[in-house]
Amino acid sequence: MELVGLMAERYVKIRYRGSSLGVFWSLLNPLAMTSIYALVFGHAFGHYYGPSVFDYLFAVFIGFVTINYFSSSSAQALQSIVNNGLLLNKMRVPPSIFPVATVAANSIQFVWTVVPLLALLTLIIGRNPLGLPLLIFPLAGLLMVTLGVSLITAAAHVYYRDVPHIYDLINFVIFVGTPVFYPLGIVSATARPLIQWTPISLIVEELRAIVILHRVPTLASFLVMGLWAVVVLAMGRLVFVAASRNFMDRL
Amino acid sequence: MTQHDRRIWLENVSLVREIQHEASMDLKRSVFDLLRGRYTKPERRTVLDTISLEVRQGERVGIIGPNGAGKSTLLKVMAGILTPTTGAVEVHGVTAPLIEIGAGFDPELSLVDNVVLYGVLLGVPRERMLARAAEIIAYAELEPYATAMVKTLSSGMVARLGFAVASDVTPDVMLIDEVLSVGDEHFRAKSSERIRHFWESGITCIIVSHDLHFVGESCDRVLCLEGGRITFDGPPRAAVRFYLDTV
Repeated sequence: MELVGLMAERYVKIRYRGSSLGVFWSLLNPLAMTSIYALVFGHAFGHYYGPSVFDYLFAVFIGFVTINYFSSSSAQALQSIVNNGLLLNKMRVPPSIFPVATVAANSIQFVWTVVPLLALLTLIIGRNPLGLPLLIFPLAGLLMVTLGVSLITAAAHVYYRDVPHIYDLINFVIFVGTPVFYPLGIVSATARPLIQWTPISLIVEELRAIVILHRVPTLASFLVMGLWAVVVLAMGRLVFVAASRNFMDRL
Repeated sequence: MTQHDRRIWLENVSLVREIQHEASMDLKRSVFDLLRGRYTKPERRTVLDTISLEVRQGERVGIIGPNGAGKSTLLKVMAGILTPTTGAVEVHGVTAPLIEIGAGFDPELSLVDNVVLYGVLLGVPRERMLARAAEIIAYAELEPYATAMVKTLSSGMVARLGFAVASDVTPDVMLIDEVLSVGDEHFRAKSSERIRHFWESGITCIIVSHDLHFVGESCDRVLCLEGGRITFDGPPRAAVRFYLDTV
């Protein structure tokens, strides 16, 4: 546990050394993305979200920060064990600390930058102080899903070194398959369930409901999301434990 | 021998490793090969073959043998880095593996941060490492670089730092893989001095070495390893003679 904390601290430290903005750099990417997408798609999709252009802006921003956290954590975790292969050959260290610390580092950054913003938006835009405690559910779900997927990608990379290329593609599919910048309403009725009930979509929609729409997400959405979170994390753990028996032959 | 003074105990330890080829590390190729019905079974190699061994408290055991005999692997099994395929391993007490020290350093972090990280990787609590960091860096004679990044050090300095951290703990069992002396002449003398101190203070030491003179003179007992098997286990000089006769 101490080791995970220390490792996570080290990742955060190295990533943001020498920049005066520090961890706030991580907001730059979603802010830039939000502006570009709003510029291009705001006119076409804006009215699905509300009368003001800001409604679309905030919705897209929430989408980007969520998917960004997920894809950068899992993509970084993917490399983490192979990158520390040398160390694992010289010292007795449980391999799981590397993906876990990577996700922890990304979570620290997320909690310092994105979460306060979400809370602020909940109070100002959603005018919904009661929504604040509700934020816990989608955020905990996001952490669990990300951790589960990260354990699987990290283990897969130990076995097959071409996994990063394949995972790039998968990440793109997840991005397009999640209503980040387009409203669910434009998707055909046949394809919609495929998109609507994926874990990341559920989390994005729940966050939007709480933060900007002043709504409580449906119980069904919470339940399905919670189920996903538990299943993905349990699967990640299972796959990792089974795979780690043969790690040392492949590092 | 009583249960009590037994430090290391291995029973019928075998380690079989898969030999990886480039193709088997490629998912696309593996899937295509599978679809074409060309599944190739991974090649396996027995690195350690039914090794049984008992080391008592305070014993200084040397391990000699040709390259690829499994010497370092045996040390890694004792250190808990590798898990045997079959058989049982028991090691009692705090273990300090001096196996290619310095591998745990992050070149992007400062010396102080690295010392703490390395110590925690070795199992020392963080608080203790924070308190010890200054002294460890002083021992390595690298105080002027304390806040510099490790990548600015020369390779000899990195080795000195590695030795300083790894040898700072007082272990019950030391596992040494040819790292008796590091750095320049001056530091070499200093590190040998520390090793000698460990050597004489009754700590259990296992050392893998090609320095037959050292092994023959300084160990209490020597193992010869060949093809993953123990071919000789006994007094140092006899072991060295046995080894020289077989090569």
